[in-house]
Amino acid sequence: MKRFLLIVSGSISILLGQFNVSGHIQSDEGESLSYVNVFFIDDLEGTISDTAGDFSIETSMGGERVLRISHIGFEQIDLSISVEKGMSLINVVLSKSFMEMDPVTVSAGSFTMADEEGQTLTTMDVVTTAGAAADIFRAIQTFPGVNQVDEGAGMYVRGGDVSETTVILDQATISHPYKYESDTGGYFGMISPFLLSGTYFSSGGFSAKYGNVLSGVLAMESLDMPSRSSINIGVGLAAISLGCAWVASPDKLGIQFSGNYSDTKYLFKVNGGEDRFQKMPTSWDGNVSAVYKYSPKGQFKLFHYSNIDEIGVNVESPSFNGVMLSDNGTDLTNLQWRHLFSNGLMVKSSLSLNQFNQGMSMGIFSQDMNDSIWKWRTDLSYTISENVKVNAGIISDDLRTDLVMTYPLDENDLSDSAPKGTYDIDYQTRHYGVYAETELNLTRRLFSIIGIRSDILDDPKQKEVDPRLSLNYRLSDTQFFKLATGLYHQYPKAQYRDNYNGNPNLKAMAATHAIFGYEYKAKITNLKIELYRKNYTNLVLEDSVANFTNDGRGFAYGADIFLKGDLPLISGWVSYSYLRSERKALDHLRVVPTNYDINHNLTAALKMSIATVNSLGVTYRYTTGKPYTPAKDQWNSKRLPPMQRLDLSMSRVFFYPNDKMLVIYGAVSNVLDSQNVYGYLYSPDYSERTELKSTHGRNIYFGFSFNI
Amino acid sequence: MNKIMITILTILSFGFSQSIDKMIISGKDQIESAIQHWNAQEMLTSRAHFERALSLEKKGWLIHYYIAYCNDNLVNYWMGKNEMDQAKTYINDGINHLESSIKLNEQFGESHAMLSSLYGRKIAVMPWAAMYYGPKSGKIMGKALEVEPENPRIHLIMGISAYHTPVAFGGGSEKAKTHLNDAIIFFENDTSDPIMPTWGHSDAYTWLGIIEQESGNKSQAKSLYKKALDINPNNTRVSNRLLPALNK
Repeated sequence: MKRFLLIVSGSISILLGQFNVSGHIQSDEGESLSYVNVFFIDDLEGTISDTAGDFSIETSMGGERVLRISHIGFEQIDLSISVEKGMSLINVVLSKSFMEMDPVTVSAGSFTMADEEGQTLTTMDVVTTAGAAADIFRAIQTFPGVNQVDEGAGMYVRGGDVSETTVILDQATISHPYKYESDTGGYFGMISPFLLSGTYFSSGGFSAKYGNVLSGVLAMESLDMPSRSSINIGVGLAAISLGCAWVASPDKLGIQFSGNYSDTKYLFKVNGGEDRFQKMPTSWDGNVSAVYKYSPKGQFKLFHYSNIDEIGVNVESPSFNGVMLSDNGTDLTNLQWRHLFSNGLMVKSSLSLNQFNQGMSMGIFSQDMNDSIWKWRTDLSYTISENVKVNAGIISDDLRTDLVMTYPLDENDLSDSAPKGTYDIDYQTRHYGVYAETELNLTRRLFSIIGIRSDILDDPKQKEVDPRLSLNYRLSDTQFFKLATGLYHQYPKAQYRDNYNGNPNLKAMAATHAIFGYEYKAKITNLKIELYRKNYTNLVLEDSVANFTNDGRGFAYGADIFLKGDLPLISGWVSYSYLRSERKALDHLRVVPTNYDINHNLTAALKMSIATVNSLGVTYRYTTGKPYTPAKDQWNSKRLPPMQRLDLSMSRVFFYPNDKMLVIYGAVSNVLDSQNVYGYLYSPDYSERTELKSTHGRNIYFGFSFNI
Repeated sequence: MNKIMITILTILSFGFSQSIDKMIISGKDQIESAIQHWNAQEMLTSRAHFERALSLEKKGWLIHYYIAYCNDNLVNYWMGKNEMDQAKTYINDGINHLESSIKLNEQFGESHAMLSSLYGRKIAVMPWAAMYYGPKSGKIMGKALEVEPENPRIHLIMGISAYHTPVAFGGGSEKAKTHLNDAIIFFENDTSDPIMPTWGHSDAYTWLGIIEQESGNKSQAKSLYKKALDINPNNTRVSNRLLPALNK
């Protein structure tokens, strides 16, 4: 009956005459909005606003009606208005919608070169960064907050040790992610950028998804289903490679494999420096992956990777003249299942085995190590509403380390007659982790991730609970404030927890992160400034009675600045980091600057495109000197001279019929021929020393890649 | 009383369905006219028309598709004016609408095809993301073909996409020609349902003509442009720009 009356009333209105509703629409920042859709929801009569933001609707129906106002990027509103004879005037203010607010980007501590949200680096970013040698880790070293302590790829994140950054591939942990591994990391990262579909890097304040890590996270996703079958052949001065992708069944089954053999003989012949090696650095690696999609919403991915590398470096020091020999082997096998259920629940689960073995010797020092991790990890993600998303997960690791080591009691004396000690460790334990977090749009401008995780160690029994919080406040379309804080734990290495040579009662090391950031994000410019402070407790400290204790402590604070620009033919970024990092840890028995306390770090990377198929890259780095110990017990009381380096890279792409492509590339590294000093080797009484200098002076590299 | 209510509801529901069909047909006319005039305001007006139709909550899968179709043309317009931010906004909005369309009707291949095309557009506005969006776009297009292997507009979009993609990345003129010729064959049996998409027949000849013109086959290009005009005499792109340029 009511409806009938409404119809009658509407009809009467038609008979009585026309109504006009006019108004003006603007954003909450005062900008007039053009082309906004304005209409009555009962009969869909309406219009769009003009370029001045004004609109006018002639309607034949009066009374109480609902006017809908919608515009791309703004929250739709329904206004109840009384349409009366003559003209009704209304002013409307629209607010930006969440969809335009960079969703899921609470990213304090995360610097990005890629345009895609959640992705830090693209493969193209890595290969076009001069000086990165197509290596992900080296490319990340151009970010602020990541210190380069030598010529290697080791990631020292915001005053943390290289062991405090975890590396993850498809949910699997890679415990030794470097090639030619050394105590400062390694010379290259293990995983090639060509094997990856996405990379995420965080230098702190990361979410509860990541545990058993104090400083940084590098999470990578391997390639998905190949879009077409192809073969790639690469030949360079020091490496040859072959890669194949086979679409066995379109959108169902894809298989990819690639192999790489590297021998640096010709590289050193061309550039000099052969005499530095007793055994030239050589390596080979191979990988195979298969992706099976059993439905549009679910898939299995099997990934296997193997790497072997060896090197023999001639060492001349006041206490030892000889060779440092090292050979490493890594295997990673991961089976991952992914399914999106019809209710919107996303499940990712993986089972992986990562094995690493290393043989190393130098003078009386020798080491034979076997590390393995069985890991099962399941992550769940569920979007409850536009403003609420929940993530949760469970992790189980089975860790085993076999280590036999002979080591000099005085680290500066490697001679045959020097006093020495031995380790023989067979350590095994289980680690469990569980986390839950919510991603919440608290208000129209405030986005948060609130999470908590717990980690449990089986032997010895230990439990940690880490709360984490990230906030992102949108000041305007282009300006954001970010805040992140949380508690982070990491268990000490096996050799520190061994029953005989270590201390089985060692607790997890802890760090609290506090990060405050500002970001300006515009069309061609991105500026990011972050201030941070980390306090470390329970660090491992040498002890004459208990071998090791948790009495170590320390702090790191600093500022990171990242400025990125993008123009059609030229792009690049400048990053600057200020850092103070001090610790009382290991054999440093009082709080002193850490070995990686590099106070000022400046990197400028520029990329130019010429006619879209040619590219030129330039990278310049300058860092102040890192600390060194000039005399017994005067830990890190002096600093090395500053270091600088200029690298160039260039490439040209040729396209041929039938999808063939040839890429010719070349690079000049250390263009200025800087002889940077990375450390000193001392005699036992510190009366003599030898400089550890750049491995390479100015050197060239070239090659080509052919895609069939 | 119940009977009366059911009868009223049936009549109302029939009226509703009629009105949504009318809205779709009218929206189709508006966007085609806007394309013909290459007028952004007209395109936005037709987009607004479809957005209103969405509030009827009927045939949402098709309405979402048409909104994305309007966006697709607006993206072309903004890119032509080098307004990349605007283009990006309409690409992202189009992707959202197509994902909604697919959620409501997974078997409508044209939404998959247009989604693939919009991901391809993302590469144009952010070239560094090519490695991410390239394979994604290819995969979605595979789904479109799986669902509707003989839909002419899917082949047309594939042809246009192949034309804009370098040979090394799976595109090129030859591949584009194959898809466009397939599209022309399938247009012979295109749908006669007035609410379904019917655009593109003339465009298939236009794109073939462009490829022939670029290969130096002027007479062939001319004949293809004429066929495009036979099908759609209002194809102003051909009549006002391509043919006069060819005749110069």
